Order: sequence, then structure tokens, then C-alpha cells
Amino acid sequence: MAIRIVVCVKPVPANTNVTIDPVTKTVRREAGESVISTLDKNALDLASQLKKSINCEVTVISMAPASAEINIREALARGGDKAIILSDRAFAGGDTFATGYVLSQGIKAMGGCDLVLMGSASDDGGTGQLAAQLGEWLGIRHLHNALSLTVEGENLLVTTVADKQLCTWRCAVPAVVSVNRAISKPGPVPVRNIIMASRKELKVWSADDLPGLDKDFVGLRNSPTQNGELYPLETGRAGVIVEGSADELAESILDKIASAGIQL
Amino acid sequence: MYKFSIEEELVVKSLRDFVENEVKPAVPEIEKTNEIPKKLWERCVELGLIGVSFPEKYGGMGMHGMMDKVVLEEIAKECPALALAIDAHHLATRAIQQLGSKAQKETYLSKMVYGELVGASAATDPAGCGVYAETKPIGTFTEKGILLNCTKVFITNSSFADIFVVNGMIDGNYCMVLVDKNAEGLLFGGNMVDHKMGMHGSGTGTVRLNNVLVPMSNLLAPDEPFDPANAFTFCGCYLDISAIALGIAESAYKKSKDYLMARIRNGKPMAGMPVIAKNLALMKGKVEMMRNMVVNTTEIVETEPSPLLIHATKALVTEMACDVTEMAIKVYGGAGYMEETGIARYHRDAICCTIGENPTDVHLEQVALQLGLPVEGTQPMFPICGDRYDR
Repeated sequence: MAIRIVVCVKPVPANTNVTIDPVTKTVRREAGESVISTLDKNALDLASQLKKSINCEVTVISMAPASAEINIREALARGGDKAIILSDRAFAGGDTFATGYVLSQGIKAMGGCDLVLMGSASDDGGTGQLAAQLGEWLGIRHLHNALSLTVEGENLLVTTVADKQLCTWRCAVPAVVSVNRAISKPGPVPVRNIIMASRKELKVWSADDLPGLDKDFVGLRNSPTQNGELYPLETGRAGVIVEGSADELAESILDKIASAGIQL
Repeated sequence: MYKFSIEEELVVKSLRDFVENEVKPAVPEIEKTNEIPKKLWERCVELGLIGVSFPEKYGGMGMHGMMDKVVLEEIAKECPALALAIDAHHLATRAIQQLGSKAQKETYLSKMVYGELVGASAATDPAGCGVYAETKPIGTFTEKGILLNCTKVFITNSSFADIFVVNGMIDGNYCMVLVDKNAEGLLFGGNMVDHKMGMHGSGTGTVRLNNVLVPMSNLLAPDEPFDPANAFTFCGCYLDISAIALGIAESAYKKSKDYLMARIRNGKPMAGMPVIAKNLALMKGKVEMMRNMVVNTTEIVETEPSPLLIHATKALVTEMACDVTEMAIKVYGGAGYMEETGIARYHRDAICCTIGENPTDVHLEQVALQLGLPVEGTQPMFPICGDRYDR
């Protein structure tokens, strides 16, 4: 029996010129071109690689406006077999808690799955919380920031990275796994795949198509995360001079980067 | 105006990804070695870029004719020579598609549409001209087959082609003959590759055929004498090279704008200096005129022959690319004249577009003929189809 893989895909604004709605304090999504969030492409690429070695079916799922069809068609060209867009005005502005809930309802409505993949964080929000939220809503295991993933019989073998520590997990399915950018190198999509994608099934489901959905958990109004004040970040240069040998300098710079909370 | 479907928009997106991340980094090496890496051509094949607009039954992608042009335009933004190699390959491929026998199509066409076999069209005589009737003899028909003896010059892809479509007169008729790269007596490549001022890497060179004997089955359109005036084999390549010129001009404009936005004078971007701003505006205006012309003509010729528009597009778009790229060098200032900035390359490549696939003056002469003007000393390449805009 084919393993059922779901890849969660988030359309995000295409360029860095992101604007915020001053009233709702959420990213304006209605205007401009959108693209698939970078790390979600890695998740799609991984699913596409898995298809070469195991019998599986890949469903792309996305909570997005119906206008995101171009992004979802691209996801289908990148390895998806079919796709579902969860689109309803009631879902708009939801935080990761609300989004995880809607996605979990979508996955349940499609009959569940064995493995959910997604990027470890999105290009715009970048919270990195969705995999955990979705795993909890579905009541299944969740692993984060995976560097590699293989299927061994009934289990997944997943290597994750956190705070410079590598952990290898043997994990039974079903599970949610978010992936690191190092897991694959998504490249340009062959024209043939794009043409095939236009012939694949793409459904648009509204709130009414999700039988168990409780509307009190969806959208901006029901999101526990409410943005506070927004203001432009003033940036400047600290101008620290580091001295020492080349090795010492390298070590010192790496420490500073790590202490700033940046993972390399 | 042509509107892209979702499918076509995704192809453009994928193409830009390929050009930015795989073509652009290869350009310095191509400029240095005058060779397009085999791997880069293979990537074009893998991605299905070679035969985007060829029919699916021949291994193509079956997309609208516009997409061929888009592929060339996007690739030309970073590597016009690679786009030119694809254009030259298309020319040979279209000849087989339009004029080939069933057996010729079975043997060559799918592999060429896919890009597995690289084609070159060997048409230009050492004393070249744009009139088919004046083309020199290339050989004779014999009992054993076709015996070819001729020299063809400025043949794009000559250094790496697998199959040559040799054009010229045999026994008073204009013929096209397929010659395999391994044919005995066929000389090309090595020191026969030209040292060009631009378009480095497209393998342009001389091809010699010394007593090359090929079977009669290698003759294209064998059942009736081929009349080039009734075949629009060359139309596609005129629009192909126009699309390449568009890509060159577009990139030269974009790079100029980015450069001058980043250059600060008295605390402000130089792009804001009135004289610079005016020139950038003019460059962009010309690019958009070119785009409209290429798109409009490509769309029209999908459904009706329009030699007038094809010739006018080739002549004007390529000349405009020269104007835009020259202006790019000038607005860059001293840096524009330095090789390291890479902007002068676009001008050199643009000039090639005004000469390759017949020079501007030949095309303007053809426009005049299509308009019904009594031009002396030449004849139409294609049937006179008139001026669809003469209302």
C-alpha cells in the first residue's frame, strides 16, 4: 500500500518588499506576486526523491487564497500528485495555532496520511512553529529541522539539527517532519513536469468542506498570537575590532555569530 | 497582447531560476574558452528547453510558439551565445520538421527536438548573399548518391554539431542535404572555428565538404524540387534572433539601471541625474517597443504568414538592441568600457544579431519588396503577402 505523504506549502510574497497592514498587523498578501516559501521547496524535493525509492502518493496542501493556484501548480510540478487549497475568508490572518488547526482539519478530511512534510520555517513569518502545532492538532509525532529522512520499513529514520547538535531518530509513522535547507537542493523545474502538473487534480476546499471544523479556532480573531506595536528597526554597526591570529579570529567570529542566535 | 497561462508563467519562472543559478555563473568561463560547456547544453535538454514549442509527437513540449522566443530571450539575458546555439539548432531542426521524409523524421527529428542530437544549418557561401537563386552549387547527383563539394562559412554550432543541414544548388535546384558529423570528407571544428568579436561559445566556423558522398535518402523534400520561396523554414530563426536581441537589450538596460541606482554622487543615486534618467528611460522605451514587436509578430505568424512583419521585426529589433547596448556602455561611463563589468559584451553580441540570419539591409530590402516597391537587383525570399496594416 502506498505511503501517503502530505507536503504543506505556504505561498509568500515574492520579494523582500513586504508590507504590513497597520490595522491587522499581518503581512499584506493580496497584492503582488507570490512564491513558494523557500524551505517548502526542499520539502517538496524530498517528497519527490522519496517517490523514486518507495511507493508513495504525495498530496500538496496549502491554506491560501484560491489565487495561489500558480504556486500550487508549481508544487505539483515539483513532485505533488494532487493538491488541495484550503481557502476561506474565515481562515485569513490566522497564526500558526489557527493555521495548524485548519491544515489538520484538511488532512483529516482527505482521510489522513502517514507523513507530513514542510519547511522548518517560512520566508515571511519565520516562526518555525507550524510543524509542532500541526503535529499536536493531529495528535502525532513531530520532528524539526531535518537534515535527512529515509523510510525503513514501517519507520522513518530522521536526522535533525538543533543548537549545533545532530540527533538521529527512529520514528514510527504517522509523523510531521519539518526540513532544513540542507536536506536537498531544489532546482529549476523541467518543462515536462510543469505541463504534467496542469493536468493533475487540484481541489479548493472552503470551511464548509471540512466536516469537523470548529470555526472558533480559525482566523485572526481566534488566534492566540496578536501582534503588538510595529515599528521600523533601527540598525547600526557595532564596530567591534577583533584581534588575534587567523584561527583565533575565526573562532571569535563564529562565537559572536552563535551568541547572536544565528545557526550556521 | 499575449497573456501567459499559469503553465507558461511557471516555465518562465523555472527558466529564470536556471539562467540565474546555472547559466550566469558559467559565462566567464565561456567567454574565456570560447566554448559552451557540454553540461550546460545537457541541462537545457533535461529541463526540456530545447524543443519547448515543437509538437509533442516529435518529443517537443507542444507549447505556443511564443515560448521558444521566451526561452531564447531569458537565456540571452545572461548568455546570448547559448541562445544563439539553440536558435541555430532550431533552424536545422525546423528544416527536417517541415521538409523531411517520414524516415528522416524518425531517424533525426525526435532526437533533435529533444536536444540529444545538435544540428547546424550550413547555408552561407564564402561570397554570401541573401538571394537563394544566387546560392552556389554544393554538389551533384550521382548513381551512388549525392556527391558534395563545397565550403560554407560562419556556421553556428559547427564545432559541436552532430548533424549538418547543407543548403545550396544541385543541378539547378535549391536543395537541403543532411550530413552526419562522421561523414568522410567533412571538415569542421578545431582551427576552422572563427575568432569572433562577440557571441563567444556558439562554435561559429567554416565547414568544408570534400567529396562527401551521402545517400539520396539524405535529401530533404526528395519528392519535388524544393522552392525556398514556398517554405517558411527560415521565418522561425528570424524571430528567434529577434528574441535574443530583446533579451540582450533588456539585460543591458536592467544592469545599467541597477548600476546607476547603486552609484552615489553627492549623496544621491546617479540614476536620478536628469541626463542619466533620460537615457535610461529611452533604453527602457526601446526595449518595450522591441518586446511589442517580437510578441505581436510571433503571435500573428502562428496563424498567418506575414513576411513583411518578420523581416521588419528582425531588422528593427536587432538594430534597436545595438542602440540600447551602446547606450548601456555610455551610461556606465569608463566602467562600461572595461571588460570586467561585462556590459561591453552585450554590445558585441547585439551587433552579431544585426548580421546573423541575414543583415539588416537585406531584411529592409525584403520589407520593401513586400510593400510592393520596385526594388531592383533582388527577389523576395517568401511569397508577397502584402501589408496587413495597409488600411
